[in-house]
Amino acid sequence: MKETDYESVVAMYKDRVHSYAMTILRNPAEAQDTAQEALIRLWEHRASVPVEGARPWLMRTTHNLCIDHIRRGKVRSEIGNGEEVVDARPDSAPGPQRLAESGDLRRLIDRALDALSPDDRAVIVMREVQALPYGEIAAALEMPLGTLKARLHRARERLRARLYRAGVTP
Amino acid sequence: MELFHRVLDGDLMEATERQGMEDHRVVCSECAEKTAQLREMQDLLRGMAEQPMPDDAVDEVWDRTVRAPRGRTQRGWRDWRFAAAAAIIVFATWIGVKQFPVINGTGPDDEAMRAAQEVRMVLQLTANALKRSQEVAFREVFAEEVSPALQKVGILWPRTSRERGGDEGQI
Repeated sequence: MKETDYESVVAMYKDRVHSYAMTILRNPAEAQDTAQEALIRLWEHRASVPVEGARPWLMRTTHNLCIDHIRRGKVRSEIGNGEEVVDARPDSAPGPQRLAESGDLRRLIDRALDALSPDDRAVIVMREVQALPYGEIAAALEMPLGTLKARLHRARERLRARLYRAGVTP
Repeated sequence: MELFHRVLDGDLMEATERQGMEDHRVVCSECAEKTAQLREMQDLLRGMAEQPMPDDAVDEVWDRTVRAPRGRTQRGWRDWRFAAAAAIIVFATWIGVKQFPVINGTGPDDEAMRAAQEVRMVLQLTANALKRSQEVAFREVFAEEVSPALQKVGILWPRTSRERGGDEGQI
């Protein structure tokens, strides 16, 4: 990758990388540091990363950096694995439109995402928020395609139940 | 529910599978409700705005990459060259010690021997240089320029071996 290619790649993916780190880490300072680190590592490895492989490389690196942060205990992480999914919510659920109008929608979605495990959050963000292809997600998370789909279905189910209980989904 | 996830993933391609799922959804309100929730959730997540990286953070990335002084790389290359040169010298010294253990010994006697050899070499070179300069001086100066003038006043200087031809110089 040439220097001009690197500049284009950074301009194109910096916000995606930052958003991903922010969603996984839930900490602005750590997310910023992680995004910077991923982009600088791409510069250091630019000789071996082709332009067309830059996005998967960045996503994999960002994900690994996020997981490293979490494992080192730098970021508070709520573990949601294995919890019961119960579809119970208050009768007076506001619904997505009212929540969006009040500005609470994003906060409630973030809270629901926070409750997922980092691995579940990773697959949800990559697939449902960033709409990355399965192959790219599987490569980034270093897991077989079948495992990825099973994890995604489970994570969707947990998130759906949480959003339902919060009154976000109908 | 597995089928509904496959619909969301775009994996349910067979027409018969799709039709089967639609038929089930008509009669199963629970599945219909969950599918609607999954679709709603997907729409909400896809609609989430990106959280842009702050400009100062991006600037810092540029400062540490494309705008970084290249001296760092060049210094790294220089350091590498020095390291390589040092490695070659160490290797050559090691080979020398292995090949010439007497000359390259490390004890005081060996060092004295080396010093004596170096002194002898310098003396030999000096002697050679003196001998050579003496011959040149006699041939170029005395034999061709100074001697003819001296001959006029009856003084003969020693000639070079080439000019002598067996005669002895005479004063």
